[in-house]
Amino acid sequence: MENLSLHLTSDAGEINILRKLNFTVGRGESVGITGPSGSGKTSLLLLLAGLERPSEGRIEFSGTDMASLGEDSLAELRGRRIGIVFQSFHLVPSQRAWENVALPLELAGAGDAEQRARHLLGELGLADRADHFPSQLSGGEQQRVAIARAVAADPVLLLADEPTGNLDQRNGTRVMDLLFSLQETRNATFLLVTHDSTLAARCDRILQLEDGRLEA
Amino acid sequence: MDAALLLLRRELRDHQGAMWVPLLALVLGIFLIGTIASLNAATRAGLALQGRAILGGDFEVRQIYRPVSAEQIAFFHALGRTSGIIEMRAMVHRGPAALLSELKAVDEAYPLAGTVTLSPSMTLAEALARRDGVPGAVADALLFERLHARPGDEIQVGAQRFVLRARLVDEPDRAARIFALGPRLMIGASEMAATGLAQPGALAYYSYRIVTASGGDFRAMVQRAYPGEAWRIRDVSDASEGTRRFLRDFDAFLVVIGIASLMLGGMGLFIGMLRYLEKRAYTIALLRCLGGRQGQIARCYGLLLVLLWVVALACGMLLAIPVPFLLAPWAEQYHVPFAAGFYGFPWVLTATTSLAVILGAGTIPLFRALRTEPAQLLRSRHIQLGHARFGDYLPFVPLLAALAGAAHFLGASPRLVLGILLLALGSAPLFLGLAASIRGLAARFLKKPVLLRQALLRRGTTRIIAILGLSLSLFVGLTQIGGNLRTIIAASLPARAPSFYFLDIPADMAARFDRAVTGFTGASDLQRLPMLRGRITRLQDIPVERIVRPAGEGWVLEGDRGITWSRTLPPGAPLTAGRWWAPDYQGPMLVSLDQDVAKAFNLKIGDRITVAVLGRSFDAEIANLRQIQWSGLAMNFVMVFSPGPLSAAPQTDIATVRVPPAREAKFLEAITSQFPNVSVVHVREVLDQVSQMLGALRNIILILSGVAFLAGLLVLSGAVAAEQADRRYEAILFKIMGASERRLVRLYAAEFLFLGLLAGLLALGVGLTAAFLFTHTLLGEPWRIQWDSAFLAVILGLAASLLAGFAGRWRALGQKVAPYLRNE
Repeated sequence: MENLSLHLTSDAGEINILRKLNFTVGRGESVGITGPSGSGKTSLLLLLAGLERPSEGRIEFSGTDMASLGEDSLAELRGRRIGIVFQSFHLVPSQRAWENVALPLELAGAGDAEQRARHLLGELGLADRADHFPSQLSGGEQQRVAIARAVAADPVLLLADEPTGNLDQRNGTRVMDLLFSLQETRNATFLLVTHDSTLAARCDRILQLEDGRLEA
Repeated sequence: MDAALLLLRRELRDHQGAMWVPLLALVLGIFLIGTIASLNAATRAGLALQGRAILGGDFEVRQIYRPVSAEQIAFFHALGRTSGIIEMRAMVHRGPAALLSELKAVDEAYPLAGTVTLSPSMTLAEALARRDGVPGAVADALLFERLHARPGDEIQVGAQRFVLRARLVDEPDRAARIFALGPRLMIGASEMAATGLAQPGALAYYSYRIVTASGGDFRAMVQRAYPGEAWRIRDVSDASEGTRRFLRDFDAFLVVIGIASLMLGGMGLFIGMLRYLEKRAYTIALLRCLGGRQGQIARCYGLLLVLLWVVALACGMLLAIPVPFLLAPWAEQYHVPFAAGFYGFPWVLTATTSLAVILGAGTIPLFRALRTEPAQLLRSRHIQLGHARFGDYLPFVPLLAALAGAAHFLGASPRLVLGILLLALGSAPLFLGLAASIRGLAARFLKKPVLLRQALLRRGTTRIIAILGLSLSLFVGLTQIGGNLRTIIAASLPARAPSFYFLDIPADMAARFDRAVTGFTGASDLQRLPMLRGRITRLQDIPVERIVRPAGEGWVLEGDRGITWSRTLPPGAPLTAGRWWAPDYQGPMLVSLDQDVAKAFNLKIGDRITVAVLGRSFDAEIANLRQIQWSGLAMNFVMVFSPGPLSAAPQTDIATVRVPPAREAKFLEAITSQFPNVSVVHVREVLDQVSQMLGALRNIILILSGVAFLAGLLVLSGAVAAEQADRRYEAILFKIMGASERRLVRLYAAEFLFLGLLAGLLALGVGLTAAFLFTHTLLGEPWRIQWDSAFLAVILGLAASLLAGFAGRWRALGQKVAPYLRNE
């Protein structure tokens, strides 16, 4: 990331969300991004996922300037190389667990999406929950399904936004263990947005955001 | 499997219920346009199939008052097989009973096309032949019924006795006239002279039908051979003129219903699709987040639209295909040319138009869906579709083109097509604008009650008023147009019409006739005028063929018109310009003209009109203009000439008399016994027949308007349901703040009654204006407000508003607070 800035315009005028961020993350590295509410953590994640365009600066992803990609290319990049885990899980409520996991594979045109999804759920200890709808799963199970979906396409970049925010401590720990273990086995880069300094401490390094700036 | 297909399969599995309402609205729209296109095709096919039979040959030459010369008949024979017939109105007597009939005397060659069917079965020649010195006759079943006659009974027509040999079951050229004044009586042409009815001046039509083997431009050949003759020449393409004119207005009306219903279906789809995609915004954002490309999402929902089209088309077809077969008996009863069947073109038309409507209306919300920002998943609780852009509305262009094309192919005039386009373009903005103004006024002036004020200021209120207003306007417009089409013939007649028309009163009997009428107790308002038939051939020396027919008054130039002459101004039509001629005027021929006709053709006093009467041309100068009130069936003439050449021509008189209903039978008996050869039209009987037909017409109009309204109601319920989530949340908040369910019911009732009333009043204004423009400006027909259906529309508005309102909010009303909050 070079001189990365994000300004949003509202009725109250221009707000500077992120100001000239510079950092590089290597393959297989895990980075914890912490900071108070409104410091720009989620915005940074949106930029890294290609869901938001920076106002200034550039993001290079495996040698590709993300600014050069159109909306569909960015979507394809997310589908094949980036996995995202949300605080609110964001599962499709009308689809079964395995269908949720299979979605990115199907969108990428994989012919064996169902088998791979079921296999992955089995790996995460959810084989007997594969045909359940999200409303029939506990919060922890829902987040594990969401994690399975995020890693289904073997992404090189894993993004997580407060993945334990809606879970109790026991489930939270279990989910984080799972995320770190998947990151390690897949040698994926992992960026974790969290308020929780203990969680962030499990990462290789920590980036502290304050009012849109990186604190040393 | 392609990802788009996979997504579609899951959409259908999980969310099919959400598309029921727009699907139903579409089915109704497709059903109506399909039905109307099929009826249109059946009528056209009927006219084409029966055209030759209706006309009685390939061509027909008609002359009034007298037969053409022997040399001219020989000319016709040289062109092809020829049949000559004579038609006139004549009284039929059986004992003391008398009845006006449509007499037709046919030669041996009749019919050249089609066949005559009789009951009991026999050939026409057998039925009409002389037996024991008495000629035969055949007649409609109605004549047998009215005269209490059976086959074998004798009747008297003029000076000749006939034996009724058989009932006329099928007369191939019958549909040429829809409104006959009496039942058909058919005799042999050779017996006409013996009746003594075809006297000089008696109104008889001499027609010569010709079947040619060679083809060619028959009209031109005849006109070249006999340029001076004022003949009416018709070919198959303009057979059944009356039928065509009758069907023209009704057709235009049907086209408006069909297109408007399809538009409503499109609107239902637009709202339904928008609502559906708004609900799916979360999934769409998620799909984008997980790598879904815009093309995949577009294909998924595009395929959904195509699937909706296929299902709606199939259902619409299933419903519409039987309709022409169900209506066939009705068409046969009223002699409307109609060939019920399954026609391909109407369905090609319906399929393409409905596809254009579905793609047009459905893709506009889809564009917004494709712009759904996936970043909302991390930022917002409520995921929304992307913002609309101007370019999103471009699919309206092919949609409008398809609607205009459909109207054109259904036979709408260019002006009607333009009107339909304006309707399609203007109706949504007009209603949204009006509804937004009402909302604005409420915001400014309506301070209390607070809850009602809040209800009016809601986001969805504008949409609800607009849709209800539009559907009701359609209902008001359609029922008003339908009502006016009926009243054009019937509404103002009974109160002011004379009781009887007397035709063919010989000039030498006129004085005796007057004495007989005025001597009868109760008879009043006797009016008698000479009656001739004449055809306008030139206006200001310009041949009528080169004159553009103005809307509404073009009929004046078509065919022969009844004309008269008079020394004094006939009552009932006051002068509006110029002066009446002196009673003893003997100068160059003058004419008094209807002021509306003068205005339509831009004629003024001093201008010249040329008319052909009895084969001679007369030039007349316009001396004055009169204001004629056509409704009421009073005796009126567009042209009244000064005495002079016309008074010397052979002619008979026509008279009208008013008699109290209780005395009508006695009066009829008294006059017909004294004047057996004077034809009588019993106006009330004719009106009864007409009103029977209009009753059937009224039902058809009501059913079609009702179905269109139902489509509107579905769209409305969709719009109300679209607000469901917000209303549930609102109901929860009201309940938390202490509002009881009963109070909420009262609030909703007040809100929807108020909205219904507003929409109803709005619809009255718009619907009445549209109906007036359609009926008066476009069709050139007279216009009168139908108060009963206008009132019905307001009541329907209130009822529909309440019904759709409560149907859409029932769940919000019953929403329990605790579970809702727990799930939040």
